[in-house]
Amino acid sequence: MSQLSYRRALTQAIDEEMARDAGVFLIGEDVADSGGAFGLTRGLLAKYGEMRVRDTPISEEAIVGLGIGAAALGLRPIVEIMFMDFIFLAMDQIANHAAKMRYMYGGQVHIPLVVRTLSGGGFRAGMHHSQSLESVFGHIPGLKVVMPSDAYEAKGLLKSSIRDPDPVIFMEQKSLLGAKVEVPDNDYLIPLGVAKVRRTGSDVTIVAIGIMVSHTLQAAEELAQEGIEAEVVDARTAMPIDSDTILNSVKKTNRLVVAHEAPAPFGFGAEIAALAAEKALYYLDAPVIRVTSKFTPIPVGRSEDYILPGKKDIVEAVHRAIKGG
Amino acid sequence: MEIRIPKIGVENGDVVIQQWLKSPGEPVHKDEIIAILETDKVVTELSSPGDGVLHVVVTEGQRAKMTEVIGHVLEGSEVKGASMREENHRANPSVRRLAESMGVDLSNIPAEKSYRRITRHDVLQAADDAKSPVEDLSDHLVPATPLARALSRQWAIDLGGIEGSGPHQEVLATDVRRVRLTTAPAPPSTDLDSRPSSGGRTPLTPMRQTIARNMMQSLAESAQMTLMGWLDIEPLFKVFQALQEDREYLGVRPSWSAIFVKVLAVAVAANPVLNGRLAGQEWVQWGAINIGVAVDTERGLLVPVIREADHKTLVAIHRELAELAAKAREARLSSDEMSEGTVTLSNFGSFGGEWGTPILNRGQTGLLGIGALEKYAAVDRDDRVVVGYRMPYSLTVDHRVVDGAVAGRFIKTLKGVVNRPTRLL
Repeated sequence: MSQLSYRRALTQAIDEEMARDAGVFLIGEDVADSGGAFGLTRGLLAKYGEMRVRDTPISEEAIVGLGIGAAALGLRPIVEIMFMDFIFLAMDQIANHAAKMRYMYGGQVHIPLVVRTLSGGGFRAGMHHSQSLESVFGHIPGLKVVMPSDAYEAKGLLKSSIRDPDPVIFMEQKSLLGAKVEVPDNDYLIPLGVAKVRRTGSDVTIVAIGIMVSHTLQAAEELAQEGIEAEVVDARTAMPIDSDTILNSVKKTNRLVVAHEAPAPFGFGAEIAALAAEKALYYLDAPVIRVTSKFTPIPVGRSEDYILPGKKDIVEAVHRAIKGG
Repeated sequence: MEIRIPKIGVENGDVVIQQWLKSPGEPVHKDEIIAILETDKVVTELSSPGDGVLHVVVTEGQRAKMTEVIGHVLEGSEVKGASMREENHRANPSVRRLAESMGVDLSNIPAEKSYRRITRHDVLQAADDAKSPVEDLSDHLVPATPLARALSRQWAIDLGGIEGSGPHQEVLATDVRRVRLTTAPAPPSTDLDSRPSSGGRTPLTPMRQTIARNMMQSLAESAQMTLMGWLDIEPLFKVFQALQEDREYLGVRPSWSAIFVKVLAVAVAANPVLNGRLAGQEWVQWGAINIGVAVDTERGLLVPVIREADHKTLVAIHRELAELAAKAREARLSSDEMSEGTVTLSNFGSFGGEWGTPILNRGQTGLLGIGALEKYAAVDRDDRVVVGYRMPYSLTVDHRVVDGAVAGRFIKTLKGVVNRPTRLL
């Protein structure tokens, strides 16, 4: 057990899985020589050689297509899309092929592909380098969407994603890269589709995902000083959704706030609100409130701070759920 | 012609149509009794406003508000209008389809002008009018959270009466829980209901619901203490016997209840500590002494009131009480005859009872319960054992305002009256 950054936890997960399974390989733009745009794959080329760690031309569609082919033949490719915003270029490969092949071939073919990609704001890098697109992929049958909320989660969830028999969109949170928590040095897995109650409370349930989990935990501490005990559920995966954990919490607290960095319309929060409305309406004692970014492209520079949600927004949302406003 | 609920003078204005004595479509005549209405406290008959054919809007068992239209008496052309063939002439196909989709019976639409065809507007209006009073607007307009709504349904609590503490005055779960704690007892849980040995379920009558609510609220609102003891009834027994001998003049059978109405009124006049009520931080003393008398009826306990009983003669009280008790049993008491009681008498002696812990009528401070008269071996002044007559009493007071010593002094006053029947004159 040691303090490990989110960045190094990801590297460790890939390293351990490559060492464990010779079928695991890594391709993407700048993943080999330079060790990744954010240094996430540093050292892997030296350790595993250029057959298993490989730079590619700038063609997202080709990168993912290569991964799908390799996966269909039984390898376990990890492909990197440098910024999630670029993933639209590979949309046909992901949505029409990776997601549907197992279904189309009646289960005779699996696509054990991991698409790692850096998502979210925090670098003030503007509209083409900052989006969170989990709901785009959560909407497509056949895909899993993972959003680890800290280094411990990142390592356990990435290892599970690599071992998963089906395609996984793995969203690495840019603004968490430097954040350190205790991470076991040994091998451990976190199952996909199981949410985690990160803090127990009786007054309100806050379901958060990705970067918003850490903002939410801080908000919960602040709320506790006013006597409001929030239960914080880290959804971990945008798909599948662990409805049991969420509904049990809502039934206990009778209030629900959902926090994610993507904008509200058609988002993860809308999905969780619908879940509560369908399965726990008569347990709700206040309207469901979503904490999200504003529904606008993310601007370049400091203006980003006005668009993305943070601790203050969560505290305010809980106040509205409990006291109105 | 509209059949409206008359102003019966009940507090919350809710009336249940207990029974329609005529079926829809049956001819009715002016002043003929056509329905029985039940309020919280009384059962009243309703007569037809005119000659014609009955049309029912509010069906049996449903609630209606005061002055609400619960039916119509259709005359002449209106009656014809009720027939299906006529209906086809009265409305074009699109209106008929609309009526069908909204569940509106076209024959129910009163034809103010029989030559006029029914319009879409008439149908929409009729659909609006026909909304069951059970789905009273109050419930729909009350903003409440889903949880509050679910709880109110589970515990059969009317959301309309709850003040919401939510951010926008909406009713929250906590408000419903609060009301549940302070009002009627919860209905039995479903676990109990589903026991196979359950002997069936009967919905409570409005009157029983009211009694249940009042009893719980009385206990919840005041600190009730009951003092018990014996009253030496020897001197009063002579009064009873004298009344019995003069029964022809009295016109009714002498009754201990009537005698004690007078006893209680005279005692209260001499020592008025019980003749008032605690209202918030204030003590409100009543001017008149109005004695409520608990009367057992098939439908439940009723408490008619004998006003200014301290100023009425024993004979007058006897006659009045006999009349009120008869009205109570026939469910003919008006709410006026049951209101403004200041102190209550309950004679459980008539059923052979001795002592009890009677519950105060809400808003009152004293209730005297008397038990059955009995002979006993008394010891007289000369230490001889003689036959005596005594009666057990149970006096409930509101201990918030009546201390034990004060209640004791009232009993002393009461005994003074019982021992000297001349004070009843």
